[in-house]
Amino acid sequence: MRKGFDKWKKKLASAAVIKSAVVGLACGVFAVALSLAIGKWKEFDVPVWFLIVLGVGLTVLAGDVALLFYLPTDKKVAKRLDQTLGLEEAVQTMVEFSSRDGEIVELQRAVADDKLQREPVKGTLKRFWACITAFAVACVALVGALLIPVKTDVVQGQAETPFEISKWQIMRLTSLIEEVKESKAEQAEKDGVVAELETLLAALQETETEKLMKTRVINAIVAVDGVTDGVNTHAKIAQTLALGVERTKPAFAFASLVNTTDVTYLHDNLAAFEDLFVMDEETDFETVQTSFTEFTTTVVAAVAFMEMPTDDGLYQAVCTFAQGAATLTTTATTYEQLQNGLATITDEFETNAQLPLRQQYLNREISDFAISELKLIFNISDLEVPDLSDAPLGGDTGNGDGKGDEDKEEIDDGGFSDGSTQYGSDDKLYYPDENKYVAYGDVMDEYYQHISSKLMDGELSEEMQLWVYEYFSALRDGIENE
Amino acid sequence: MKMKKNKNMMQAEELFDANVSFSGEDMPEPQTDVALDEPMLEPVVEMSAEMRANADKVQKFSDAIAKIKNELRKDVVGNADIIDNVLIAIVAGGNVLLEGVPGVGKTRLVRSLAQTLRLDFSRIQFTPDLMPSDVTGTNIIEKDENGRLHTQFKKGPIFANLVLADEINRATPKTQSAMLEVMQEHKVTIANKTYVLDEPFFVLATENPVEQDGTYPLPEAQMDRFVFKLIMKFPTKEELADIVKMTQKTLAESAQAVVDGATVLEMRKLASSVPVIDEVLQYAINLVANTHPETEKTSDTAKKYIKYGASPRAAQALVTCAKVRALINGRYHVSYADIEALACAVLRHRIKINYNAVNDKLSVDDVIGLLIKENRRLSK
Repeated sequence: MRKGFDKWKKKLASAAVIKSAVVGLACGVFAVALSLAIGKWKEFDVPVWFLIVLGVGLTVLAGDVALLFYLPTDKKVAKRLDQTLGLEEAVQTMVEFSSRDGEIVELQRAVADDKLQREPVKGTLKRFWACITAFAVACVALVGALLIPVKTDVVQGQAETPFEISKWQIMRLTSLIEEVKESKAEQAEKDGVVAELETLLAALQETETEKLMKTRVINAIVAVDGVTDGVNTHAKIAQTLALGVERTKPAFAFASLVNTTDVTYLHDNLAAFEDLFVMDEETDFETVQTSFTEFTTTVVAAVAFMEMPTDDGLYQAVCTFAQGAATLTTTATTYEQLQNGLATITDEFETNAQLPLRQQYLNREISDFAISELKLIFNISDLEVPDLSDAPLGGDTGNGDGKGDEDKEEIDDGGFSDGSTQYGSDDKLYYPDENKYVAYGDVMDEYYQHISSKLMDGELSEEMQLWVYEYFSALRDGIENE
Repeated sequence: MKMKKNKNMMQAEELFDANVSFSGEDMPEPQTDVALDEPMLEPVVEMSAEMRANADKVQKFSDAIAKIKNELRKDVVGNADIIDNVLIAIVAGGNVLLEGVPGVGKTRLVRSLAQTLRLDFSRIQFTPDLMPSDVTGTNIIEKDENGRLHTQFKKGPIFANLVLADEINRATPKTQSAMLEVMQEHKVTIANKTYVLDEPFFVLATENPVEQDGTYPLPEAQMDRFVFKLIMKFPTKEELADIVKMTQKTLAESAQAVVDGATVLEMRKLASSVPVIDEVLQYAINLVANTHPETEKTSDTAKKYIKYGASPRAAQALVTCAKVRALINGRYHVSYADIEALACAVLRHRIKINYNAVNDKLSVDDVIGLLIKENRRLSK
């Protein structure tokens, strides 16, 4: 005889279940959000399975606990109904005296339940607002946790440094391309270098990080050097000559002078070569002749094994020299004949080899210029670029364009010179960091780097940028000794 | 009874929070106006024959109350809340003390009530020279037909169903104490012989305010025997006009008898079966207990404003009368509202306020109002 009461109780119990579910969900979602946030803050990955287990588990647990709290007893329902419907303890009396007998008690139960049956069962939405708000807050916390950016490591201080190619850099790179095109290098050299530079320019306009920029520039530098290595033949010819079957001193000397593209040394080098076949107190004609014959054999054999384009000037000169040497071994029967014949073929070689050597020198020059410019424009230090030097020819260092590293002289007062060209200056200037006067050449690189960064940052006007660039470029190229 | 709210009471009330009552909203002012004109709703559920019989009893109860009130209105102008409380007390089986200045209708009310209830009525006019035996009766020596002397107990005016003790505070304490046993136990003991009074028995006493000359304050023990102390106020101008017009025709009471003693006893029995839940019961107990300042964990109001608190009879009176009130109001259960509505009538003559209350210009009713508010807050 509690139809009305049972009807309300069922409604309130359903509401309690729903409210408990919402509370459970709020707790579960909040716990997931908190775990995510902590993971991102402490920089460790929270596994997805953990989040799922935590969320579901806490939802169920919190929901059950909430249900124990919210699920109404008869007494609670009665009190709630009296308060909500203004029944002045009628329902509570009905519930408390539900098992008692009495004249008025039974009537009271009947009347109270009658009132409950007449009242429409209303929702209790307003009591949900707290739970719904809690759930909304938990969802917002979850979204916030998901949106927290993940910390990433910065490698070498440049991993995430943004990069955007500046107008100055584009201008300089474009200008470099034009300079290469207008240079006197071989067409193949120019085409190859220009192609690499244009590819680099296009790539850098889409590059967004510093690290990627440097990688692309360094790759371009290596590629430019590779173009020259492919176009120039002096190193390959010299290597073949140096690795000949009979590795003799004359053959090595000949290979060395072929490897030297600076033609200003060619005559002197050829004279020194000729001196290898001069008699002295310890050698006689037969010894010299034998030495020459061995040299000739080596050169002829090397020439036979060289895989060079037949129209290559330097190769043709070496082939002509080899032919002449071979003829001389059979025709020279006296020391004077040998000397004269040698002088003739060396003069001929000097004439034939001068132009191709000069061309290949210019090829190397433009390649080195382009590489130097790329380093300057994009602030790449020498340490970041791999060693581009050719393999030594039995002790030679560098790319052979100079007279040889052993010929470089160090000037005590700063700068260095390879004989004809002095890099840096031996003038002294006040250096504030060390509070003393130092040679300008010692600090030139540092100033160079500093001004390069200023150029990169765009702190100078374009006109100033050009002037500064040209000034340091001139210093970089060294000053020709008179 | 509407509580007076003077400025100082409001100041005192600031000491307590205005709390929400158990019903989820502020409790209404305690009032005893009874709305009996609305018929009780017929329950929709199927009723057994026994329940139907009980429902008929309740209906008869309501009809009786309505008839009594209708008759009383013929002789008594206004004072609806006084009439309601008097009826509650009568049904509950308690005695009532009516206080008011002369001429407000105290005696007239009781006399009309006696006529309406068809009960043996006697009136005792208390005077300073009234002796106890004048109230209870005495043994007198009589000569029988044979001329032998024997003692005969001559019943006093107390031997009636409804006794009007008019101006009871004019009698001496000795005479007042003669009423003690009668009012509580409904019996008289004289010369070791006990005479039981017929039921129902009520004492409705009237008194003038104590500040008038020639009066003796009632002892606390006797005051405790009254279930209610009701204060009849001077009528309003409209009510005064009605009184004058009415009494121009006749001074005699014109109420007719509509209910007899047996009916009153049946009503009393019916009312006693009205259920009270434990929470409401505890609420009433707490209210009475919190009137004692000497008790540990008592109310702050009691500690500050009360000299001594109410006796256990107050709790009994509260619950018993609340049951009657509930039934009169058409409810079959006691609510917090019933307890609070009767609190002033039950407690005002049982507690003694101290100087702090006087200093703060708080009346007994004001202090009871504070007690009710604090009790609501403590009971939450």
